[in-house]
Amino acid sequence: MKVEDTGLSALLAAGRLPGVGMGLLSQRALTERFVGLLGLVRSGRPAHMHTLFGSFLVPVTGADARGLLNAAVEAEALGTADEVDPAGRRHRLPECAPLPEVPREFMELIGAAAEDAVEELSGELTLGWSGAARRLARRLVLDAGEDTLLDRLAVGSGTERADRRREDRRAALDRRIRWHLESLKPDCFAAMTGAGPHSPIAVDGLAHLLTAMIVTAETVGPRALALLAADGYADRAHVEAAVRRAVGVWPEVFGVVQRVARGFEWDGVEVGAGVEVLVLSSVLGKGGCVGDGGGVGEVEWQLSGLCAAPRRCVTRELALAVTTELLVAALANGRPQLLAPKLNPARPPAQLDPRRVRVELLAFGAPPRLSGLEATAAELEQHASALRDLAADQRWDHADGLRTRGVLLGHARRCAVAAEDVRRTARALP
Amino acid sequence: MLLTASVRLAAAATTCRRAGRELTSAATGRAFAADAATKPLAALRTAWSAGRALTNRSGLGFAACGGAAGEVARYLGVATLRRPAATAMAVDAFLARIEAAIPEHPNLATPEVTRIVEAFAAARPVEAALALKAICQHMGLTRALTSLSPISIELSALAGLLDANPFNDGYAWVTLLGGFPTSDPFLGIPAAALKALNPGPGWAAPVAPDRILAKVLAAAAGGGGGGGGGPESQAEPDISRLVDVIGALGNHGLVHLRRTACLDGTDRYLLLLPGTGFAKLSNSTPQDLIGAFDAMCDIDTTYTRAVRKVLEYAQVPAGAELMIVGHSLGGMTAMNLACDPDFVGTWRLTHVITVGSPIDNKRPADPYTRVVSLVNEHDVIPTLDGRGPTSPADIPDSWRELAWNDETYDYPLSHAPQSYSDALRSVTAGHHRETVNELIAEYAGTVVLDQPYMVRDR
Repeated sequence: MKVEDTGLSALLAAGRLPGVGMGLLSQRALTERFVGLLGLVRSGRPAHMHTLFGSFLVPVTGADARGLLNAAVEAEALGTADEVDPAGRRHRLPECAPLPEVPREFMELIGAAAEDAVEELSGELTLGWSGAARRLARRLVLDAGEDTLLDRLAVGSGTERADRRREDRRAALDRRIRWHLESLKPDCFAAMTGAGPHSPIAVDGLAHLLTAMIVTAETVGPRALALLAADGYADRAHVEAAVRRAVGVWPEVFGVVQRVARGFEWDGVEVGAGVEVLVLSSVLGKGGCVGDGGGVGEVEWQLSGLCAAPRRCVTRELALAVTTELLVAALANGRPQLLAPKLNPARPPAQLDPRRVRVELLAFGAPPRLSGLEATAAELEQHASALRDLAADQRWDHADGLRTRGVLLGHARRCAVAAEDVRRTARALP
Repeated sequence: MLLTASVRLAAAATTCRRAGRELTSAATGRAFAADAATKPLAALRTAWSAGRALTNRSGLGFAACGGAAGEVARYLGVATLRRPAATAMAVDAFLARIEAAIPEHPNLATPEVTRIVEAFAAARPVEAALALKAICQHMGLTRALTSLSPISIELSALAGLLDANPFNDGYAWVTLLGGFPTSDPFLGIPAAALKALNPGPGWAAPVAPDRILAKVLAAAAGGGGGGGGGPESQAEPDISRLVDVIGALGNHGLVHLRRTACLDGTDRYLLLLPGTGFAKLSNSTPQDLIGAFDAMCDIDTTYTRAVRKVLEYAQVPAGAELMIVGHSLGGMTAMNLACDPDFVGTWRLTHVITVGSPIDNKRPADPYTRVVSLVNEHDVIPTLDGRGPTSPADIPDSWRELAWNDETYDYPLSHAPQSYSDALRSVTAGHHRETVNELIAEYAGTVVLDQPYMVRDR
């Protein structure tokens, strides 16, 4: 085993150790460094590597990854594809389900439905983001109102790690979709494309579309919000660019193993049948941006983890369009302020957990929101004021009420003192 | 006014707790460690300021919490009875709720009850024990429990907050603020430990009904009292009769499955789930006290697993419509199944009807599942979810909580399924019976299968 083979084995083995995966030593950061070194060792050419977790052909640059897979697609040489997690474990990527042609009126519906979905969003956008994304997805695909079970089954069926449980959930999702198809409302994708409860192709396509919309909005959406907030822009052009960048910089999966079913040739490299191509998302590098450099590589689409389709997938494109419209609608009346984490858009981190992103919507012209201890101090002062106001109510003017009034005033004083103490600590922070 | 005061105090307590966590993190977290290495003087100023804020008796009190260092400090504070302002606010919020309960329950205004409340609020356990003993001697144990039932959850929360055990505080905060408990209400045993004490994949097998059960089943299936019921009987579902069946099933591991060929041509299924047996803390069935605590903190228990086995054994087809009626732990189990997207994705759970069950902090995964909660306000058990008569936390608008004040029975008889079915047949709650029967009318039809099952942990 060569040194680089040992290195990759160790990297994947480290993913199985508890504690590895956070901060500076994050798996993706390590992988990026490893891939950089591998590129130097191998002079930028794809490497045949033999690891503890299998033998792979590993492209070490983004251009090679895209070129290799494009050539395989052209030669109709691709077999099945698996997602690879940071511990080297494989999970089957869901099969792509084809969609019928997307009606123009559906594209016009997306914007209006997005505006309805964000109506209840205010203040901290990211708090209600998932709910808004799921409402929108249900509305667009089936006009399914408040059927939150649909999206719980959909997200489970698209991303479950235990294959058997995934099948059960997928069957449950299909049943649920058929139930809605029996009494379909007219203004949704299913109705516009003539889907019916007895059409398996239609049900598969709707399930794939629902899952893709939710997963994309919940992963790409917050990351794009973080980029927009860090950059300070929120118009449509910037939103679209932020979405493409979020997909390119932070691919959802750690890697994809693509099996080669038939031999083909690419750039002087013979790739035989049975070879497995391992594309690590770190290969795309930090500058990756979907749509840059003359077109989207199929590899970016596979690294979304939504399905195994090697070519551009209409479902994934629709999902990105919906995420974009949701962002445009959410930011229509204000500008985003990034509360957490700290982010330098010129040097984005190796990974960005969408669940940790916190973005506030500030009305145009409003001052930046207080954060951290300053915000807590302000809240304590509000409680002090609310308790004092309640204590002043004349309905406490009786024997027992006077006692309660005293209790309220006492706690109001404590809140006021606590606010001062917290603010003092906030100012003392380096 | 008192409930408003309780709500505002609870909100202030929440912010004080968060302030404690943030200050602790500012003085002990990673960012602080990084700053201490590069700017030691500034870090020292931060630590000093945060330390003062966390120990100021006029402000946050002894408020360190969160993170390893913060939790150790909190445990030491609780053990040495140093209390944060948040706890003081929570105590006063609970006292306001207790006072708010008096107009509806005048028996709470007696000197004996006042003595109990004052002893709990002052964290004087010996005094509290003596006061409880006195009221029991005066009224008898069951009458005393009945008298205290409207405020039992507040008293438990006060005891949890003010004792020297830091692990049972979590349940008190759930009682104050709502939410899902992560430990039992008395000792603070974490949910993971409760799960370890309640192991088993669940098991089920059909059994023949005994004579009494057969008679009750026949009556419930519409065949009258003489055993003319059973398969092929026409039945309009009657909640009082279904609760009778639950009573006849007992608490030793039986559940019941019925299949009805309904009038609209659809086959529908009905599950009846009894509650806890109190004889032992843990037995071989899912219907024990440990199982009850597990069901409070988790939706996946031996009882839910055993019920799944019943449906799989009976080959209830995927997508079939199902209604579950459960008493006490059986109702909690029904709601736990309703919370499981895999369960409701497999079978369409149309109705969950709970009888004397603490379920208010659970939410069904299928928004179209109709939830009906039948509650005797003299029954202590339904309040164990942290929502008592004066709790500001509310249930979803789509739920039907049908409550009544039945003073016929003291606790624990007030909790028995027989007392619920008696009340549903009486003037006290007869109108609720009609309401429920209308809601479940689609289950009317010909009973084609009535089968009890024995369930076990393993």
